[in-house]
Amino acid sequence: MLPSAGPGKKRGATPAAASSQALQPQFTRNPSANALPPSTVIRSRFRSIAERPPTLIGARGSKRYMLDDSPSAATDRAPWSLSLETPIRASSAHTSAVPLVDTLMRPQRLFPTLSPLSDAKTSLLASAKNSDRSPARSILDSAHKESENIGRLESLKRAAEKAKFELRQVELARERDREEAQRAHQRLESELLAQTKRVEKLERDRKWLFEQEERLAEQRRAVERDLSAQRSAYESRIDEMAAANRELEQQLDDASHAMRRLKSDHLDQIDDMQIRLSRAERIATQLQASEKSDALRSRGDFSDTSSLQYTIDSLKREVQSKDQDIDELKHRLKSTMPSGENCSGAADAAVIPSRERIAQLERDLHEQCDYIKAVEQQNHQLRSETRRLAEAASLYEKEHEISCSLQAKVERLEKQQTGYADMEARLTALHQEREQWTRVFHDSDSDNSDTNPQGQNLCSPFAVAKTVATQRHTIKLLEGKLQSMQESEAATMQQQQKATNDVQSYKQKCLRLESQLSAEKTKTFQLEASKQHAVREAEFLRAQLHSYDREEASFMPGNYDEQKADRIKQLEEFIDEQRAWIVSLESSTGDIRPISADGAETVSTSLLQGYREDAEAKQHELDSLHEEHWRLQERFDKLEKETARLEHQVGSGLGYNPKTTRILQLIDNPSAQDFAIRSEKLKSLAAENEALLERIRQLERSNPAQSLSLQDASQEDAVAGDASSPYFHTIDNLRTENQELAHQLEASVKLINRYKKAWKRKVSELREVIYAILGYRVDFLVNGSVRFTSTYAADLDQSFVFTSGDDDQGVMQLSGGGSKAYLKGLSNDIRYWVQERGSIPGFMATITLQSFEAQLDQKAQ
Amino acid sequence: MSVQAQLTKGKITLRGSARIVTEFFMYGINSILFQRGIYPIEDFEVKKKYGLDIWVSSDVSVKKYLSKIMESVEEWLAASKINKLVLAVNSRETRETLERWQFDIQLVDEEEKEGEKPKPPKSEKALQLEIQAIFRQIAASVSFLPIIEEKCTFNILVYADSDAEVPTTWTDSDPLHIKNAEQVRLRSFSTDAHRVEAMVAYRRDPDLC
Repeated sequence: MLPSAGPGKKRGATPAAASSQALQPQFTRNPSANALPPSTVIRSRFRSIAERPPTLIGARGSKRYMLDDSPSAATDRAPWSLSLETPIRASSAHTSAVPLVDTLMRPQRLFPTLSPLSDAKTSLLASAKNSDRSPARSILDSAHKESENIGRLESLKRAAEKAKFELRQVELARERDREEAQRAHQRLESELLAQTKRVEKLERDRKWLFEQEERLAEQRRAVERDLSAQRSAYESRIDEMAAANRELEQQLDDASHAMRRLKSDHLDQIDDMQIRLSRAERIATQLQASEKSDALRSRGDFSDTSSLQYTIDSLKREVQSKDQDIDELKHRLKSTMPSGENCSGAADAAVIPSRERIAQLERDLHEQCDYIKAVEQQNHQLRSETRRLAEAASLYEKEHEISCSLQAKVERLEKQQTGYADMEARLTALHQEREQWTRVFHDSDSDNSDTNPQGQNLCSPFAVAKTVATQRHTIKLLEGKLQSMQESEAATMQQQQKATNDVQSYKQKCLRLESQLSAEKTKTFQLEASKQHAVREAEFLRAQLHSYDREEASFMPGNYDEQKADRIKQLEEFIDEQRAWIVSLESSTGDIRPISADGAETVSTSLLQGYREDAEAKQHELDSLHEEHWRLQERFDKLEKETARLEHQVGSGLGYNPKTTRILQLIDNPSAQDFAIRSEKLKSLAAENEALLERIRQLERSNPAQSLSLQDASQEDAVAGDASSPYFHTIDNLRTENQELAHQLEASVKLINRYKKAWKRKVSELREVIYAILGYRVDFLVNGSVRFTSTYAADLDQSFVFTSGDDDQGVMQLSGGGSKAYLKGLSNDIRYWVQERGSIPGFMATITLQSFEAQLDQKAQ
Repeated sequence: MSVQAQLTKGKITLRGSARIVTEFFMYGINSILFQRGIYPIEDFEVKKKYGLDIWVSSDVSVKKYLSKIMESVEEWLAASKINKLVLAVNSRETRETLERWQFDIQLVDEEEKEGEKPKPPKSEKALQLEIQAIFRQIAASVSFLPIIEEKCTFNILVYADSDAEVPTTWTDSDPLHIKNAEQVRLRSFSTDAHRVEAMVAYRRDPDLC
């Protein structure tokens, strides 16, 4: 109900209401006409003039749907306006956890419209109904509508202004966001620059470390060189000592041989001497016995053998004295009596043999004594030599022990060196691992103090394992959180996207409203113009009517209808009254319209405010989520890097816990077998080398004149069956090499067999392909020629044999065939194709075609 | 019970899964030995498996060695005492490890939460497709792995739990790690009881650094 139709002013309370109700009861059915005064039933001559607005309305009927958008229409639709989303409701809905999407999606319900089609239909119906109205009524309606339109336009203008303002605000917010993004971009660039600097610094550090590593490697190499030099020196010294040892052994052997030989010689000599001594003693005893018998004969009484020597001496003295006496006597005899010669001769003959024997015995004895002395001296010398050799042997033993100990020491040193190198490598790896773990723990401590709030000491493996487990758990939790954050971020992004879409739709709506506003403005101007025109025309017509009335009153007094003039006057007054009523109505609606427009504006403003607040809150939430996402992303990247590093460690074989995991391998594995074979081979080669060197040394030591030739030596070795002979090593090595060569030969045989199989397969494929495509069976004959038999040949002997040309350059020549008769039958073709044109393929194709046709003929027959 | 029976019957048991994984190891190791040229091509023959032509060694010693290993590995798999199997390719000259093919073995968690439906058993086709993908990757890895120009041999390491029962034919070993390594993770496959993830680590070419 219109506001003008208040309680004190009922519909139809105007002066002409009763008559209009009586005259036009059908208009009461029109709801829009309920508010019209009853004077609309008047039919006058203004119909022709007033019929224009309906056409105008009809022409612009499509715009009429805006009627329903008017605030008055909104007030008319009280039931559904209850469901209108006021900002307060929207905010309450928002606070009561109603999704923003719902609230965002509803603004179009602020100005709900009926469909243009239905509006057009209703406008057409209205125009059709209004076509029966009076022109004044139409004018009034149009004026009323115009005023409504103007009010609506104003409200739309304000709404558009508001929307523009909102749009501006949104643009400013977007500008701020853009600036924020630009600042963030600059910040990121600065961070990137810092990161780049850091990377450069790290690169420099890496280079420095690399140089350090190179320097250390150089030092290590120098140390290795020194060690190898020391090792070689030790080895050479060991070799020298071994050689000296061997020389000493040889000398000892020679000396022992010589000593044994001398000893045996001396023993033989001693035995000989003893034999001779015993013989001499026997002789001496015989002589003593004879002397004793002589003495017994001369003195008669010598029982004591111990005084034999004394007796001998005394006898000697007596013999000498007797000899002297004899000599004196001889001289006396010679001088005194010549007859005394016979007597002295007899005495001399009795004494001389005993003297000669004694002298002989004395000489023998003297010689024996000298010989015994010489033997004793020699024995003494040999004893001293033996003592010296024994000392040398003990010295050699000592040297040997020293050399053994030195060798063991060198081996131990080598082992220690390898162990040291291994330990160093392991230590380096452990240092690296420790640094990495320390870094990890430090990072994790600094980053996640909540994960290790007690500040656990990570010195024990259990604590480390526990921390690792905790870190893994934390990583999993963080990953889950990150996933949820990513999901929420995706949802927020969707919401933001939706909000952006809403802003876009609002913008479009605003544009549409602006275009509608401009259209309404144009329409308003047109309506204003038409109204002014209609008013002027009405004034003009009224003046014209008055002039007619005056003319009629003055010139045709009989025809002048007083009642009619009164009626017209009355009507004019009624029109004035209606105008006044319309003005009052407009004023009253003008009071209401701002209220409704303000209400709409308030609604839209508060709604937009609510949306803005929501958007800001969402933006804040989005920013915080972005920040959280950034932080989590960084954490995630760090953990990813750590995971990649640990994976790398695991992949390269380092990352495992030796307490819980054992790395097992089969004892008899290919690698170990290969290594064992190589070691064995190396050992045997080394032994062979050593034996050969020893042989060379022996040959060099020995006198070339007395040394045996190599042939003799090998023969000797073969005869002696010495297993340590270098030739046995060589033979063993050659056997091993022979086995390897046999293996290689087996592999070659396998390879050749595989090639043969492949060759056979390919050849058969080739033959099949030629047979299938070219129609000839190819047989490679032993003498290098090739036989071609056509698929369509009637007999097997209908074949051609091709051989290579004289130069054997791959040029084939037709050399014969399976059957001479067959070839003779083809002599024309051979001459034509092969001899004249030199085309074997052409000839073969011709033969194929001929054979094919012949086969077809045979089948047909 | 054959693998086929295990697969068609329903969900794969731990023993059946161990057999499947062991079979995969057998063929995988053979394929790696062929693709990496550890043994000459004459020592291999083609076998049809997993819908693919797989080259398998015909060398008696290699077959014997692998069967010995797989016998123990299957036992350990069935007892869930193994977590890694590594094929290390070593240089014969320097004994340095050049490549390291690692297969991580994880026991699939069988715990079922309340209210959740039990997982349906994995179909044979799905399993075969997963294994096929790994074999294809092994074959394709020749394109990015460095060319082995020296004579090489191989060794197989097993990362077993410390409380696992170890036959006397086995001994402890070092991990044969690679210095200056790069690694590429390959695809994985899983049965209802085990999950096997493959990875290859190789020595970075010093000339490229």
